[in-house]
Amino acid sequence: MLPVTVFMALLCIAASKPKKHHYQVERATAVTDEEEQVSAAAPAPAAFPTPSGGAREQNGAPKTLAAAVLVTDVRSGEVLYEKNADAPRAAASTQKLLTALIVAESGYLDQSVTVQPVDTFAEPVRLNIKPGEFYERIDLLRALLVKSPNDVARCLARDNAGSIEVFAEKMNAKARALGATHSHFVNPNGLPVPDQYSTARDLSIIARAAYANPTIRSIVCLPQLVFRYASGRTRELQNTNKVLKSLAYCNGMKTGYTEAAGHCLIASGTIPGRDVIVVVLGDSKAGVWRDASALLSWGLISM
Amino acid sequence: MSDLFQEQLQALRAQSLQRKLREIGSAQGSEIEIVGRHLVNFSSNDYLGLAADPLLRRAAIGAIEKFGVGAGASRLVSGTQSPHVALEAALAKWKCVPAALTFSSGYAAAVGTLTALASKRDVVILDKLSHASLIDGARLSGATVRVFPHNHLGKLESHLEWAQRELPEARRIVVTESVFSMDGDQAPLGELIELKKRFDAILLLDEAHAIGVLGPNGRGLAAELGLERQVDVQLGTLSKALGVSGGYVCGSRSLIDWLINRARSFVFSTAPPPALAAAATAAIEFLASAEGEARRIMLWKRIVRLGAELPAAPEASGKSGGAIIPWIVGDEQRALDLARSLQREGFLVPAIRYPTVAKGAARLRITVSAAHTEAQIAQLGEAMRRLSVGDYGPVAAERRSSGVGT
Repeated sequence: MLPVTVFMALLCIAASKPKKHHYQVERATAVTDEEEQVSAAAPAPAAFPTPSGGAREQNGAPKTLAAAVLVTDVRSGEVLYEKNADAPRAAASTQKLLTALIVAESGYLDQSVTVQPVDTFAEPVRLNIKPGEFYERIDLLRALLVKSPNDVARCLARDNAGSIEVFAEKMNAKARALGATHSHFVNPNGLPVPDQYSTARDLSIIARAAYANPTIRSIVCLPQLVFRYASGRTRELQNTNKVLKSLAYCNGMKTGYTEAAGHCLIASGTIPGRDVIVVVLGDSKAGVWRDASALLSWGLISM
Repeated sequence: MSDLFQEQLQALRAQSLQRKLREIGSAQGSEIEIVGRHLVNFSSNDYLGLAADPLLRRAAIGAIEKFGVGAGASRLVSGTQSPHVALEAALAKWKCVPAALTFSSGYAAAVGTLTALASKRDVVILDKLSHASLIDGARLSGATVRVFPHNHLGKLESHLEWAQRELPEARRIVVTESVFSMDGDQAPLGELIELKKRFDAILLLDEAHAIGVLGPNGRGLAAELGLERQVDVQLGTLSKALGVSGGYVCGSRSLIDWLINRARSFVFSTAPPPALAAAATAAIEFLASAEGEARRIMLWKRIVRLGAELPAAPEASGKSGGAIIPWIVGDEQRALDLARSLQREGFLVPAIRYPTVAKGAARLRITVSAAHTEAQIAQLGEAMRRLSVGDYGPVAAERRSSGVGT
């Protein structure tokens, strides 16, 4: 695809050469009636459809009703579009990407974890793992990223750091090390507590680090997962990320919702030569998929 | 006898299931001609627009000048001409495997390979949505055939456990596709490889719809995930993104030598025309070049553009993993009506029905090509948004998983 500037330049050249226009008009009149109807009914090709009926920002990004948005080119780190990206907000379960990153980087993922009673004291959504059961870390990590169970987040965090409090310290240290300095984390799952916040920009930084981790990359793209309980019973977990399931070029990331945070989604996408991460915070239930899809598509093909 | 067929055909018509051929009066491309009408073509598997590319035309013409048209004999007798040898060398190099073998069609490659790999003492375990050629090959091999629900690793595992327990001496062959032809979604390849290793099984992966689309230089899903070396038998086609005709198998030297001796669809077919081999070689060399990568990037930009154009109802849509976007309607007649409406507006988007997909899972199958212009895709998107209001319900996903009637 031509860079926008070149494209504009070509348009100018075309406009300054009226002969070219004549040629195009002649060609248009040469087609059959039926084809003319097609082109009459069709929109202008440049009109990239957007969730809000074609409304777009100055740089062409689709306009959304989300409270905060950040679209980043993963390879260059360039911000393609932002809206309230530095406003402190509840991140809800999207912060599980940070939890997962710490667990994945700590290694020994094929080793077993024993579930403790304290792990199960969590709000829904839960997987209902039981105290005394053994699970491989990797299986818990997969469940965490695909289905977002809060008991699993607690179990992995406690296993990793000894307690939720110490794990939260690790989360804050890790975030700072990555350059996500406008966040404060208190728990591994994003359940609402006072003084826990992040920003679209910080979450994008964290998501980029998670995206670079091969273990996380290979999990967040799974549309579903069969979880095997210690009892031998299996349960099919559907990925909560609906954009993953609808767009070929979406390759994962993480959903989130609490009343305070609204509907949130971090979505990553790839086409050959380009990777984009979209952070959408504080959106509506239906809007979040629509907005993230539109932003992801736009980010991947905008120049 | 003819009355018998009349009755059967009438039954098909009554269920909106009778299929017909339509004549295309032009070369393949983003626009094709059907009975004098020009339609924008969203139905072909020519994902990179190579089928009518001058590069391939020149290669074929050059080979015709030198080698004529027919190959004269089967490959094993005297039909293996220099272009056939060059093609298999180019394939092996491109796919980074020791050896490759080409067949007259993808169907022949699948049937020939499976019948050569499996005997009646063996077990073939297939994904339910595997292409008909893979199912036919498995059946024809005489092996015990087991089918697991689409991409269901748990069921695959229990089939493997069963085979290991009940038929410990049997060769276990797991068969799946990397991008499924009618649903467009991908197999969980990493997990499949874990399983096949654990149960000491052979993995046959059909990359037909991933070649040219996924992976560095279009080498497929296994290459995209860096898992090429762990797939025992890589099946693919020259007929889709590569723009020509034929099928291929890539793998170890001993696998290929065995197929040369035992794959009956290879042994008992006249060699494909040398000009086709020359054109396919040109296509592979193109994919391996920087221009080929640029074309593949163009394809993905078109895929993204269509993704942005289609109405948002993600929970009901099929996951697409490539250039195939399934638009699941459900009802057979409704799918046909939608396809007809689109055709009236100048778009060729086929309705896919039983038996290609399960009953009640009829769909439009939109395929995107690098040859499409942005305008063509925007126009299709506008028409789809206007015509398909009310379709695309969540029930579609449920019906979809009810399985395929092959």
